[in-house]
Amino acid sequence: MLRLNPVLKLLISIGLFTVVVMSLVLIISVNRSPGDYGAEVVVVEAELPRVPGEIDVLEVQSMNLSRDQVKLIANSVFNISVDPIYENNSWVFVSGWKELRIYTTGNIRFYDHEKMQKTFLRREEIMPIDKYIQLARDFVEKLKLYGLIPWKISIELNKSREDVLAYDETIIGTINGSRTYYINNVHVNFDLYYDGVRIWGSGGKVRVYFGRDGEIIGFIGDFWNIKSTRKVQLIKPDEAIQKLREVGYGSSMPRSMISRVVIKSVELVYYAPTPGAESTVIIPVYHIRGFLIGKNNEEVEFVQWVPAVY
Amino acid sequence: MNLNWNTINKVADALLVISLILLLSIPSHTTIVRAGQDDSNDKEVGVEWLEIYYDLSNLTWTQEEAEGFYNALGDKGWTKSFNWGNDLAWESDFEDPSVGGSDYVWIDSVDFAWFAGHGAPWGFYFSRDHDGDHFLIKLVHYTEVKWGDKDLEWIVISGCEVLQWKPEGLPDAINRWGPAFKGLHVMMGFDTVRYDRLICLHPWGPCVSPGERMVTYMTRSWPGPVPIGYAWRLTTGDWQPDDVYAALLAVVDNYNGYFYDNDYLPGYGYVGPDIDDPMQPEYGFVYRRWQC
Repeated sequence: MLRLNPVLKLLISIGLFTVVVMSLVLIISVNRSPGDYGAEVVVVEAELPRVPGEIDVLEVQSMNLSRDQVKLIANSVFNISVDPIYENNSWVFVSGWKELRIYTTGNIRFYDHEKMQKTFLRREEIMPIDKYIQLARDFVEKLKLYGLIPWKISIELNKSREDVLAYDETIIGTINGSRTYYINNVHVNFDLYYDGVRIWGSGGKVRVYFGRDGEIIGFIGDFWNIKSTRKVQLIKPDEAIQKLREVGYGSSMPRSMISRVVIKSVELVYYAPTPGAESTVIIPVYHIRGFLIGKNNEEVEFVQWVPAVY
Repeated sequence: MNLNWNTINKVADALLVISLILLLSIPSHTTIVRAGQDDSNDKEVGVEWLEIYYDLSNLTWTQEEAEGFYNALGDKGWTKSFNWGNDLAWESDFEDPSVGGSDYVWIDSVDFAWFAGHGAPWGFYFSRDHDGDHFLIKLVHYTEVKWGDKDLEWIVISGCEVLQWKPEGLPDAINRWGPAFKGLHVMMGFDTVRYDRLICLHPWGPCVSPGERMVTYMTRSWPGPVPIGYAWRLTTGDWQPDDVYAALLAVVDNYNGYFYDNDYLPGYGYVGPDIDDPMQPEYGFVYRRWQC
């Protein structure tokens, strides 16, 4: 190594070591600063829900569906008469472009892939809204006959929901040119409830897709086979708002730039994961929506959810 | 303690060595040390993701999201060209040389790219200033990009609202992002805000990366692979709740009636030829949005 006076060398080494270690500490601390909650004012413009002190935790279990049972459903409800293959905790039927999955946990996914991709409807081809809603109701009622929908879950059509009837759309055009609008499908969204609490999440959907002339070209049904095994203490909505401040708003607006947070809705829901596991759990969370107001008065929407249990 | 010159000398040497080792570890956080990429095939993938932002809120799952895609394509034989995260993900990697960018070295040197981080209708965000023209810093603005003039065919910009159809005060998605298509086939993203999550089968795991799920849809042997745009649709449906809308923007060949979101992954089906200038009259764009 260097041939210097050992004391001088030791002093240089200590100095260099200190500078390097302090630099690393500074970099690490700048990279990881999760506890910065900001000083924004939170305004609640929503009616906070009245919630019980305790709530059920929902455990999902396999329904032990037999091959014959699922074949009957496939044939009677979806007009598919091929033999299924069992993979990843689901019975899978494939017939041409049609694919139907019936999960052992009670969830259904059905798509006519070709029609989901290639249907283009003009506005004037759309039937009256009530017609779609009736067809969707009839379809869900038919499914109930096959025992797939657990009695503890209620399926409701909430007409006040903005997207009870929604469209997937395609717009074709050129830069600075005309626009042609098509509807790929009309779909009806149902809500799922357990004990009055809505089930929400990537696995909290009941939706019937319609193509041309009211043909059903897709269906999502999260009819979880649930069992309540225990109750857990629920945090109150105002505590959830405090938790929201801790976890952040998931928005791109810099925390330091947020001057006000306006909360427009706070809903206690059950969060349902994506189907596919042999068993799972559905947990209560608060689903919170609102917008952030920046120091320059710009507004940004946010949606976030926080656990509703301790 | 028996302290002599020899001991002091050894301690000083040890401290020097440790300091040098630590010093060498610092540049990996703050400066560029990057490898090149292979341009000799049509199956190259690159990803960039951000979880740590210094002046935006941090994200949690973007690394798993993007790396899931990267590794899954790698497992299918694709060349893994680059995987830049946090401070090493740079805005200039996406930007055109005309605004000081070097997209031709990075994002436009691969066939399929995935960005995961914060987004907005006007662009997507980075954590450090690496802007070639020092304008619109830490942001890839829609006016700063031209993709596909070298290689890029498909890109996912997985951030909130980047593909919002008609944001207030901005052009619609076709007029906003269409001029970026210089050989690019499809751009995929979200119309609305989205949740920073993985595809979880259980609240506490196991979880699947949405990137990996998309590769599964594009390459599955049974019931068969689906086109790239439709794979994005199925993936977002598995991933996000129903208050999220996803979207894509793709080139249309009006003469042949071909929509480029119907491209399959190379080796799994038809891939349309590159269109260098989709502003020519025989071409156009298709914008699709759907409820997740």
